[in-house]
Amino acid sequence: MKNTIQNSEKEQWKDHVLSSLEGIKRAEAPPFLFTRIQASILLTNRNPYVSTPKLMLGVVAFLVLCCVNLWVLIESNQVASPNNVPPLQAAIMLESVNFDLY
Amino acid sequence: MENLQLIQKIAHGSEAALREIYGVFANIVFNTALSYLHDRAEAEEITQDVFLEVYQSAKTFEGKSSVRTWIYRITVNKCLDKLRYQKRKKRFALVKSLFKPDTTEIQHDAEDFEHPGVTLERQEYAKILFKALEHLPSQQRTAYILSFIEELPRKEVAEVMQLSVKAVESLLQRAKINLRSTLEKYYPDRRI
Repeated sequence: MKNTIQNSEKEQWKDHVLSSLEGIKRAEAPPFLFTRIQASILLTNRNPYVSTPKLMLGVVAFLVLCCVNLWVLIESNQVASPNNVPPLQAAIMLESVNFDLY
Repeated sequence: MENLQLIQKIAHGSEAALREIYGVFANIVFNTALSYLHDRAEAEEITQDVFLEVYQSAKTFEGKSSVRTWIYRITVNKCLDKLRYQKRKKRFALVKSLFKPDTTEIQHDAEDFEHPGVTLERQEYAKILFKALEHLPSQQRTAYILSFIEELPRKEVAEVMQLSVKAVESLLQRAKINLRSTLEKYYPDRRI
């Protein structure tokens, strides 16, 4: 019996809470806000907005370009230096050079 | 002047038209943001962002929905983004505090929010309801705020949320059930 009364009281309380926003009045937006909006429009007009994906795409493209350049540079250095030729290949090369003499 | 004409003028860079649109919708945007964020300063920031977006996106507005629905949609999206950001920030601060126990950056829950439009005798109940609303999933929260605080017709709520009216009804049903169960823990113990 006591529990039933308590439960109905609780339900009543919940109803009061849920209906507490009925007929709520609107709060007024501060009057100075439009000036702030105008200022931010001016600011975005001065600094043209670059979206994050576009910026990221640019950075990735730049990095890829750097990597390709670096790779080409390393490759050409390896081909140019005689120290990197394996001994067997070096011997064959020397042979062919010697044959060219006759 | 019609709202649609004003948007077309804004698309051509007219600040006077933006001022007119602001005059019509500023309170709507501000109040919706206040219902989500429970903080005046943040609601002001959202209002500013929404009208900046209106100014920048006016060219892309196709007029498939009403201007009011469009502005509501921008507001809801901005508020949900802000809430997600706050959650992330809170989580990050918590993790940081685990590694640096003496940090002062821990984000505390906001104090009880008093909506300026609620009558004094209902203020205590409203505070509890706003607290309980924070526990709802974002879609249920949006449906509840737009239907019961903004008092939009279900059809318009459905348009703002880009859902069917039936889906909105079901969200509201679930929101009410969830709110009732959340309110359980806020019920003051009167046996003491």
